Amino acid sequence: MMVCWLPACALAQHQCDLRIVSVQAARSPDGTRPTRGWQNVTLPDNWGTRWPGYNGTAWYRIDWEGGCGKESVALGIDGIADAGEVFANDDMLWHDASLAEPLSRSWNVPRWWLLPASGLHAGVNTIWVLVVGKIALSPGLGRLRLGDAARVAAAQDRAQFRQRTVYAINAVLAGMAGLLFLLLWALRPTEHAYGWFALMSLCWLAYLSTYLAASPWPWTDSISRARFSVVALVGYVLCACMFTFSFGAQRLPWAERALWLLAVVGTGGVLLAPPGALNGWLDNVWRGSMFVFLVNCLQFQWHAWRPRPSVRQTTHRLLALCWLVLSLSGLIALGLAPDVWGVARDWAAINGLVTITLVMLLLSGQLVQQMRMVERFNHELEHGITSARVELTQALAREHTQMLEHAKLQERMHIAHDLHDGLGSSLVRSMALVEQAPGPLANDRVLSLFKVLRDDLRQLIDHGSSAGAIVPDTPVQWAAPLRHRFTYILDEMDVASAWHIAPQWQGHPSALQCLGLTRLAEEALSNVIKHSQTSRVEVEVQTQPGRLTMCISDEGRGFDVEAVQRAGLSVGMRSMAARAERMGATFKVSSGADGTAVTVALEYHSPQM
Amino acid sequence: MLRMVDEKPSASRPALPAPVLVVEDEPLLQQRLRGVLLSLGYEADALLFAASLAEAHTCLVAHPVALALVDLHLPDGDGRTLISELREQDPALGILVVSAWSNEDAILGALRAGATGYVLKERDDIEVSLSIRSVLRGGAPIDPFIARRILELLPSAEPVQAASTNDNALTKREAQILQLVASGLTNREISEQTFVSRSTVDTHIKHIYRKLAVSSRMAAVHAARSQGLLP
Repeated sequence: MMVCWLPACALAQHQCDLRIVSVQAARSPDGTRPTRGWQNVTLPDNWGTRWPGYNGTAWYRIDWEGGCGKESVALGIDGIADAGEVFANDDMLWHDASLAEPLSRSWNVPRWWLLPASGLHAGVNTIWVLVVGKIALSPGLGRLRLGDAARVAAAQDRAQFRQRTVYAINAVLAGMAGLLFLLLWALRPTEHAYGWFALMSLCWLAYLSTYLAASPWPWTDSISRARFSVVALVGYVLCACMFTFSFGAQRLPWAERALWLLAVVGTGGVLLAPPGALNGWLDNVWRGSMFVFLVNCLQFQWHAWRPRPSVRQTTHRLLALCWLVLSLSGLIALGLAPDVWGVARDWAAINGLVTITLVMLLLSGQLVQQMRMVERFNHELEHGITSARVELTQALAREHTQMLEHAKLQERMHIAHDLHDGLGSSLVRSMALVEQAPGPLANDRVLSLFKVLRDDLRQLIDHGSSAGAIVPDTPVQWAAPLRHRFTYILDEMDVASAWHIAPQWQGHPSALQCLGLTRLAEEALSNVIKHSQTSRVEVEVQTQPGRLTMCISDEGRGFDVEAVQRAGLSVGMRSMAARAERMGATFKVSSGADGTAVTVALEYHSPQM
Repeated sequence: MLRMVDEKPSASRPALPAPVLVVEDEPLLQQRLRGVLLSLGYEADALLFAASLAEAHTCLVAHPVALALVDLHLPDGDGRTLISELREQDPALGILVVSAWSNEDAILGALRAGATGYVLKERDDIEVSLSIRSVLRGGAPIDPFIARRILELLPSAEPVQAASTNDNALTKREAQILQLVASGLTNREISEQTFVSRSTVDTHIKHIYRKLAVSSRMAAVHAARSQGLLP
């Protein structure tokens, strides 16, 4: 139990006619006003030092004299440890609700009363205070004021603020901080500092109940209440140390173990100490806790301020400052007032407000910093994504351009190849033919050579434009231009023509195959017109699933196929065979006395197509 | 060799429409066309040659022509403008396009400008000669692919509707003829299948060409009106 009684002052000093004559105390085991054993005391008084080991009832008597008689006289008392009754002469002014266990707790409750004027008499009057106390709870009487009502009331208001309001604010802050950070920690268990801070705040709240509670509830007696308070303080110090380590990112496993051990020893001692030894235990554990707290605060100064290569954390320094204020106040309080209660009072008030406020500021600052980091990260991410997208677009565009260039180049090379293989080889062949000819070639022979070249060029162009060429829907549509063109010519020549075209493809020929077939048919029909001297031509296109057969036959004078092939003279036949080979078709010529037939058989899905 | 090429012009044959304007910038091909036309029975003085649009215009001022062979690619412009001018002056004039390139759109464009037929330069003389003769006979050479395109371009008249509602719509008979052309049948075969004379088939096809040209002119007028160039 920590109470800080300030030295009494004679409030009524300047009032010439109101004077405290004496303050005395006497034990009263039976509770009646003692007639003997009065001892002079100074208020505030703790009888523990005077009457060691005395649990029970004591009386205080304050004799006073004077008073102008015109103004009413008021009495104010800062606290009665733990419960009591107050009399003005023989009139009872006030009494606590319970004078037996569980005792009422008035030790930190300032009260004031007007002294009834009718009960006062001239000369010396006496204030009687009955106090019921336990030796472990610093029994005694707090500061007392006597004087005119206005002054006493004002002083009591200040006492009220200092003894109740400050602690109430403390409690509210601690409760709020505890719940808030408990919630944060529950949502983010990896943030250990939040968890420890929440526990620290809740322990502090439990400890503050010592100052604010009006009864020992939920405990049945004051002693258990006192044990609980000190255990709460031990918990508070332990949590504060853990919070400090966690917040400062300190790895001190040995210190943590030692702290846990000390906490267990302290808690065990406080909880298990026999009533006789309890006072010592409470006192020592309290001091020990204070000491541990101070050591922790000081070690953190070293952690926060020592020179180090890496960047120092501003938040660590702020916490260090906060702890420095507390430790200095504690040290000064200890140094100035060796009396434990005096220290405890200031320390508790300062500690509560400073710790909770500053640490909440720190943690919320940290939270804000983290949120800013997230925002900055988001911003950077967005920026990164944008630039990556731009880079990607540029890269893709570059790649696309390169691919396009590459494709163009490839296409040019294809065209060059085709020129070389098609037109070029025909050219070379024609040149060879002219060169090896024994005499000058006939004009029509040269012309036919040129026509082959022209057809090859046409083939090349068709091949080049076949990417955009559309395969006619039906063989009839495919044959229509050929039929149209040649029927006119054949009609002019009085050659009868018959076209038997299958209505459906029964498969999917490629555009190139269609073009190739057209060229083959053109050449075959041209040969018929030029050489056969026939009166009738028949063109037949038959389809089976996946294949097509085209047969162009005439009834004209035939020729010796083998001889022509051996002689190598027929440019037309050779180019037709080459064409058929290129489109993956089989090409057959049969000729006899009753006519000639050119047959082309084509598989639609030739690997070359 | 073809008999028709060997055939000499006879007095019994109806007079050939003259003079003939040949618009062709390549001298050798001019020479070739000259040969083809002479073989068809033309006198040399009935042939006018122009190597550019400007020359063609000069010729036209001096002599109204009865037949024109026009190349599409000329050094000073597109032959199509000349075709539409000629067609404007004489709706009955025979205009044959002698084109180097078998580009469907170019050919169709020429037909829409008012050409009566077309032939590719790369074809043998026989074919060029056949096409000219067809035009001379008053026929209208038409290709299967052109027929298909016309079927896509021109709407078919509803049987109930009178022709007056849409002059450009194909009649049922015209559509039928175009279908047969698209399948590759010649005018002779078409006349056999549809039991009409060859000249009737030719007339139908000329009608179709006219509708094509009219529809393109109407589209031009409509476009000019919508752009505020015409009242």
